[in-house]
This record gives sequence, C-alpha cells and structure tokens, in this order.
Amino acid sequence: MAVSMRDIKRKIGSIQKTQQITKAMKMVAAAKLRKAQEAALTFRPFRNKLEQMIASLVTSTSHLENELLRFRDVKNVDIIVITSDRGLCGAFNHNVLKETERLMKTKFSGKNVNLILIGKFAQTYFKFRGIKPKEAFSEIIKDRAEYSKASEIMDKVIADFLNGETDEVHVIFNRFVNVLIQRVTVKKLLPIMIGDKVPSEQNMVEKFTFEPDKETVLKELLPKYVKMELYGAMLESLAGEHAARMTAMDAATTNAGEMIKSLTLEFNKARQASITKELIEITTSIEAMKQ
Amino acid sequence: MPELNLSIVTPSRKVFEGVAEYISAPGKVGEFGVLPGHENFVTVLDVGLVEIQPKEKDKFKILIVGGYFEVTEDNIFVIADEIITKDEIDRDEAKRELEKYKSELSSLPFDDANYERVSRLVKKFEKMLELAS
Repeated sequence: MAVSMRDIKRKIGSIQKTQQITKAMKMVAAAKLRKAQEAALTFRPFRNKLEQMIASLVTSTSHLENELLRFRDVKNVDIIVITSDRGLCGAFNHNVLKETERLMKTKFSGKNVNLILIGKFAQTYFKFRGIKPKEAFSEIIKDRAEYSKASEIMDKVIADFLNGETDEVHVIFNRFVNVLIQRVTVKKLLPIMIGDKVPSEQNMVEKFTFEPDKETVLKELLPKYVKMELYGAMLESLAGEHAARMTAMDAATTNAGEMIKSLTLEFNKARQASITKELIEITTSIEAMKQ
Repeated sequence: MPELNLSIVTPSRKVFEGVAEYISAPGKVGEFGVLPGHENFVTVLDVGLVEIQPKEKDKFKILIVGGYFEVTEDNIFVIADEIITKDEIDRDEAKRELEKYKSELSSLPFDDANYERVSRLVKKFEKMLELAS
C-alpha cells in the first residue's frame, strides 16, 4: 500500500473543509456582486447626463479658456491604477498590473511616469519591483466605493495638472462587462476629451438659460465630471472584483470536488486492498493449520 | 395644478424622487426658488440648505454640498457632491469639526491653496448645525 488509509482520509477531510470555505466565499462574492453591480448600473445614467451637458457646453463655448480641456506637450504622466485589497480573485489584479507595466514600457517610455495606486495589490507589486508610487491608497474601496474618496484623490490630481506638474492623467482598471468577463480598460482622464464621441442635441444649449453664464457652469462641471469618471472606474472595478472572485471560487469548488472524488476512489481501493490482504492471511493460516 | 418632478441624487445614492410643489436651493450667485412653470435653466450650487415642499407632505430641508441643478419643463434634476439629511447629523461631532476648521481657517493666509477648501468645510458644518437646530 503506497499511502495509508488514514492519510487519505485526512486529506479528504482537509479538502472538504477547503471546499466549504471556497463555497462560502463564492456565495459572499455573489451577494456583494449584486450590490456592486447595482451601484455601477444606477450610476451610469447620471454620468451620461452630465457628459451630454458638458459636451454641448464645450461645443458652444470658447472652451480653449479652460485649462482642463487643453492639450500640452506630454512630459509627465500620472497613471491611476485600481486594484483590489484582497486576493483570491484569479487574474483580476494581475491583468491590470501587467497592462500598467506594458504601457510604461511602450506608450509612455521616455516620459516621466508617476503612479497613483489604489488597492493593496498594486502597492505590494510595485514595491517589490522597486518603483515608488507618487501616492498610494488602500482599504478605500471596501463594501462600496465612496464618492468622497474619489473626489479627494482627484482634487490633488487636478491641482497637479493645473500646476503643470503633470500633463496627462490616465486611469487603468477592470471594466465590468459581465460576470465572466472583466476587461482591462485604460482611460484618459485629463485633459478631458469630449465632443465628437458624445451625441448631443443641437438645441440643448439654446434650450436653457445659464446662471451665471455658460463658462462658469462649465468650469464648475468639469472637475465634477473627472471625479465622476474616477468614481465610475472604482465602481466598475469593485463589481469586477466580486465577479472575478465569484468565478475563481466557483472553479476552486469544482476542482476540490474532483479531487475529493479521485481521493475517495483511492481510499476505496486501499481499503479493498487491505481487506483482501487480511483474507489471504486468514486463509493461508487455515491452510497451514490443516497440514 | 402643475407640479414639479423632482429627483435629487448624489453619485452614490438617490436622496429624493417624487412630486413637489416648490424647491429652493443655494445657487453660486444667490439663493433661488423654483415653482412649476419655471423657465428651463441650468446652474451650479453652493454649500447650503435646500428646501423642498413635496406634494401633500410636510416640507423639509436637506444640506447640499455643491452640485448641479437643472430644470427642464418642470423636471428638476440635481446632482450633488454630497447630501446630508437632518437625522444623519451628530450635533456634537459637527460642533467639534466646525471649531477645528474655524481655527484652521484663521491660521491660513487668504491666498493659500487650501483656503477655499477649508472655508467650504466651515460653511458646511455651520449649515449642518443650522439644519440640526
């Protein structure tokens, strides 16, 4: 007998326990996913509404006045990387980090890249590689993403952009497509790109009176819009994280089940072998006594 | 009788959705009120109290911290950065915070980058106490 029966039994027991844990984690992730997904979906219409209004304002005002819309020679780039705080969610974090490194080597090579990291995973990853982030936040996206946090982070980023310390700001995150698919997305936050891509009603601007005037409204709305973009990315990432964890835990539960199956088979074989062995011993001893 | 369809939201939650007869809000250039039949307009909001008179219910106030206000044919849409309702306020906490930011503000020079941010916070907690009282 290669492995003793007791060993196999212990192994089965421990795998069963693991399976229970992964099963529970899957359920928890599923429950959290529902909430996060709802938050992400209810947020989209507001964002679109604001985007439409801004788009029609941008096309109808002399928006060159506004710093947040102005393109510059790109020397310094800020990248906001959104990962999760906790693991066990498959390749979720890894995909984002890989994309970040790829961008640093290709598109932004030769430029001064500063990282703003959200989530523990990004921090440990870049710490290990000896890259010091400009800023790092963890434990800010827990059960729900907070708009006030997004606003806080963006306040600083916008200030740096206006000071001329950074010329471009991007955000990298997992977009929640559906439960099985999270797509790594890179989005340019600053300078704000808007206009052609947004279908805006021609008469939207004429329809309204603006108080005090269009320029002031636009100036107030743009930072809000950028903050909402980051908040939206946080929501998407949170929903994606739970979805990824759910899929990963589902796979783990299935794998554990398969392992238990094959181990039970092995256990039965070992038991049968020991019974056969005992029988042989008994019969041979009887045969021996007869003589 | 004409009425207003009101929806007040922050990025993370819906605060009020329903039919109202009157709403007043703190605009950047002064407080204003909207009754049914108001012309279409768009403005940005300051920190302050919003008063709502819902249809056939008691009127109430909420604290709004900056936002976007839009009226389109009696449909009112407000996106606020932050909204605080009366029962969410902890008076002692608000008082402490107010004192803290007040003293911070008095030590800042007018041209400091943080001056505007802190004075907004002072205003927020002042209004908070006003709402709670």
